[in-house]
Amino acid sequence: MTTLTVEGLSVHYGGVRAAHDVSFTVEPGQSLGIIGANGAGKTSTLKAVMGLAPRRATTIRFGEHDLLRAPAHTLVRHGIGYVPEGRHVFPGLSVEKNLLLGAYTSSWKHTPIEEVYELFPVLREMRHRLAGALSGGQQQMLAVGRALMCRPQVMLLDEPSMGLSPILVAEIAGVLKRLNADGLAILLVEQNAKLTFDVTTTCLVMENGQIAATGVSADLRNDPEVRRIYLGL
Amino acid sequence: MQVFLQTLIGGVTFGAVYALVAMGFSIVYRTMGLVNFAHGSVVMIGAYAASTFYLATQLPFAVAIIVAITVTGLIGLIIERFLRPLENKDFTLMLIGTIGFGAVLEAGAVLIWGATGHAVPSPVATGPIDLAGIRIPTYNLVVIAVAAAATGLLALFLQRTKRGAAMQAVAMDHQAATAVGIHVGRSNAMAFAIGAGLAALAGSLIGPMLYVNPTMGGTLGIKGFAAAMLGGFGSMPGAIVGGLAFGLLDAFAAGNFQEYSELVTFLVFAVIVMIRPTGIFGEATVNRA
Amino acid sequence: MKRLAWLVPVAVAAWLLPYGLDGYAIHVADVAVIFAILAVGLGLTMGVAGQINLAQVAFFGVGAYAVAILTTQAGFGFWAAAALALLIAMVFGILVGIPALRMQSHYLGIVTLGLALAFTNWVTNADIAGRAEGISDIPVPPLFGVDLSSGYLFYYVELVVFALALAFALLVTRSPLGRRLRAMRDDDLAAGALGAQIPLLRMTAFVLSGLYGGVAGVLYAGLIRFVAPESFNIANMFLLLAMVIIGGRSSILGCVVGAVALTLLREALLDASGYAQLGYGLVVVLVVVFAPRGLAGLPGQLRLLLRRRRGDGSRAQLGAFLPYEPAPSDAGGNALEVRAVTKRFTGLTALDGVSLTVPAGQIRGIVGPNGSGKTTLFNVISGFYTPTQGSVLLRGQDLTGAAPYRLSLCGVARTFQNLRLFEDLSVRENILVGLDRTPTSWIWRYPSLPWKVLGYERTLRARAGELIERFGLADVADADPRSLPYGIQRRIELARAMAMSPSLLLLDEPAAGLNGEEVRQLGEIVRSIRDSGVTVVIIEHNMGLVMSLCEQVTVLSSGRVIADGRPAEVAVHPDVVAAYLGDSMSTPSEAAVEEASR
Repeated sequence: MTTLTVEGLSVHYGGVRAAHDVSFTVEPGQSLGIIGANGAGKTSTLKAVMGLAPRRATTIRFGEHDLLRAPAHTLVRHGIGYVPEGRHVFPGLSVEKNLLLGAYTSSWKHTPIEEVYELFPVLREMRHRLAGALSGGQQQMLAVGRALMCRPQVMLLDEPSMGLSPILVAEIAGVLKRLNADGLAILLVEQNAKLTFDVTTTCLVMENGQIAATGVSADLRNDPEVRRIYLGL
Repeated sequence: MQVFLQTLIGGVTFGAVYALVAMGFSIVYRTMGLVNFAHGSVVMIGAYAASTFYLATQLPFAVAIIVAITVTGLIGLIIERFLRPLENKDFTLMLIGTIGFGAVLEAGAVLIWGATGHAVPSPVATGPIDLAGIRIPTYNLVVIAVAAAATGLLALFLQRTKRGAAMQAVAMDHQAATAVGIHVGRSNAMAFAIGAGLAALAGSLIGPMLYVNPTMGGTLGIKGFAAAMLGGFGSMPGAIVGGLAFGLLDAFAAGNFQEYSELVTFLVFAVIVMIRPTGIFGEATVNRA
Repeated sequence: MKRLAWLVPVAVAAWLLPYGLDGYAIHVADVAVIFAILAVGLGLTMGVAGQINLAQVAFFGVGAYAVAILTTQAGFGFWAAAALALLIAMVFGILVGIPALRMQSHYLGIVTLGLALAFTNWVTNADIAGRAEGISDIPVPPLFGVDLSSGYLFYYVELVVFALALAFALLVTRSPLGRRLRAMRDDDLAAGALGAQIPLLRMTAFVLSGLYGGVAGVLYAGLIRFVAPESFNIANMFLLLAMVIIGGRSSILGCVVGAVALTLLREALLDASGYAQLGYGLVVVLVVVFAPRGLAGLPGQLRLLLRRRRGDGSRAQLGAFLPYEPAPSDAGGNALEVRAVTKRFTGLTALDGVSLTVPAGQIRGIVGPNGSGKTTLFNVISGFYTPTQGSVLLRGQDLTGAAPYRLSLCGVARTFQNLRLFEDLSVRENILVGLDRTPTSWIWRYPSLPWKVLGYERTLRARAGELIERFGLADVADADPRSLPYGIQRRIELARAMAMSPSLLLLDEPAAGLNGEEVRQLGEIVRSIRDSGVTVVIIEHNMGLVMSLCEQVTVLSSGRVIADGRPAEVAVHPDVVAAYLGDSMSTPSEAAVEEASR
């Protein structure tokens, strides 16, 4: 089992500082949440871990793999699944193609596609449809399913609740809890604090690109500091 | 009626070639957002490579075509490597950079093959087929068949293979493609090589129908580009439909306006794209400019 | 004016040049001047205005052929024909430019190239244009008994025309019109929001292109007295393009240098033209990759490199903001009224019956979760989107669906969430674009009353100086905005918006990316702006700022108004708490909506 370690991570876009000195670890099987208002630097942090944003850090490791030196397209081979913000499915390809591309680095003869269909039966029904024609919720399931296709050890999710109705949010939460119970480590970045508290055991709160608070998810639920950050009171 | 059908056949033949050129443009554009104005010159190089090899070795024309595709595929890889810093950047610069590359290729052709050009004998010896009074040159049928086969193969590659799917994924969303483990640079290079190969095929096929000379790339490139635009830039079905449409437009303009055909063709083209700038099928990728 | 002092020796040298040249060399010089005029025209359209015009050589041809046809076949005198030729070339410019209203970049490039081919096709085949043989026997232009068949004397005519053409081009580029054109090239949306009427500006660029092409064509006809299709073919278009790119497309003087250099080079390599073309091609590719601003941009690039090498640590500093004189809001009533606005994109409803009223002199906050429609609302108010239903009133006047430039001239200013500063303009020039409140029809003054333009430019510069002082930007006034820290860029955008002397200021996430101190300063500035009589509407995620700054807050969620009231009331509203902390039923993100609408 492998631990994801991030130390002293900073992200700069041009002159803009999006995240500064962020550190955390995700232990095997753990579920860690990062919450914060819009623009707090959550998405940048996740993208930087994936090597998709300009970054500086003392350490980004996954087990023995040094991710700071690894090109972005090799991360998936180490067992890191990524669900980008706004889903980013491949709209002009069929659902099945989308899923298969999730297993791009391995043979297409032995993929966990059946397990994904089991988890999201609706994807099986829609497997010949173009991904762009799916509803927002279905696309989100597809994005999660695609990330599962590489048989990841840890899954990084960016705002999976964005644009979904409460029922769908609850459904996604259920799926994430199940995956976590089966041993998949989860790093969940969310604006939706309620969902994050539901799914994760530990939580970081980001504000202005920095970690403003850390705590047990269940305790943060009624924390006045969290309320202040969100509502400015 | 007879004249009409005769023109139709000619239009479809040239249209098939324009479609190949347009597909080459489109596959490069949709995967890397690069508008390659040097594409026409690659077509010209392909025509020269195929015809020179064919005339020099007397081996079957099909072999010459394969040689030409290999040569231009390599040239494509070199151009891609050179222009990589421009990908997804300022459109104007990219456009001018590729025009510059086109000029280099053209000058290279003049230096290698001379400025005058040469005629290529038709590789099909059989006389034209007479069909209810319409004379269809056999070579035209060969051109249409080869173009159709190449289109089919390309579609098969994009639809059925992992690399093809990956190439499409890069076109749609290169960040998400990277996240699933696709090497975007390698995929782009392959797209460029395929584009150049299609150009070579188009050039080889059109050689025996035209006079092969260093400036043929300019006109063919512009027409292929116009065809791609007419169909919808970056869309593969658009490239095919646009190519055929442009071939027909060209043929009927030549039939009705003789020497003024180019004038009419480009005026009609300008009016059509004014009415529908994104073409018949719409632009296939988000405008990244 | 001092900056132009170096022109004097250059002009003297150009004047004395023929004394040192033989008959052939002076001919080459004559041709070089013609290409320089053409290159200036292309530089104006492509470099300054950003319109990919690959028909410049056709405009050149139109000018030359018009003179040839009118003199040899219609019996016109040379100068009458020349005047008509200029007019025809400009009309041709307008016709070729029409597609620019609908398309840009590579699309425009291919259409203009196609039209240029259509022109060559016509002259090669039309009897009136002498077909492939062209037209010879164009009369020598008469000039008070001066024999212009001499290349030496013709040179002086060219020199005078060239000086005028160059002076006019420099006037255009260094005045409000040129700044608007450059702003349009950088970012046409932001330029529109600052009062630039984009379609008219694009047509202006093509008219200029036609004019310069026509002038060059007339001179060509007078010099060579023979026209044939191959002088105006695509290869020459490429040569012209190479001149402009190598010289530096956005610098008029760079274009001149490029044109002169390449004409001479072409002459020198006449015997090895194949290698010459190979050379131009390679140089163009190298310039594009390594020196995108051409020769004219090299000094700047070197300076930047040196500064980096030296590791110049002098970080630019923002000065203090000098508050505005308080002034009562000009009138009571409502500054802005949004009535039941609905905005649908294919399949998505971004705004669903949104109504809000902002009384004059208020600071209104608009908040809501990601994707709730805030920016879409701003885009409707500032004219980027036409609402599907509903109306927008400014001070009681219905301006629903008016174009951004009109709204801008009516007193609506806005900033953008992801900063849309014109990157190729200095900080001062960015502010000058905002200060220029003239309608586009004012461009008639450039040819007719150039001194008025210069006077106007002086007053604008004085006012820009005041604004730069007020916003504490003196240290960075002539810097390139990209090189500045984010906080300063935000301040510049605010200053640029205030340069428009708006009555309604829309701020889209002005605090994003700012640190605590900068946010505090922002609050002060916005308050002072309001106190000077401007109504402010602000979208912001920094709830601390919203709570302390705004008198009233409107909360959007899923494209609907879910709460409206004083900040303290709104923050405890149960729907708002739910929308922010979860349990929200929200629509897809705005980014997705905007993408779908393209």
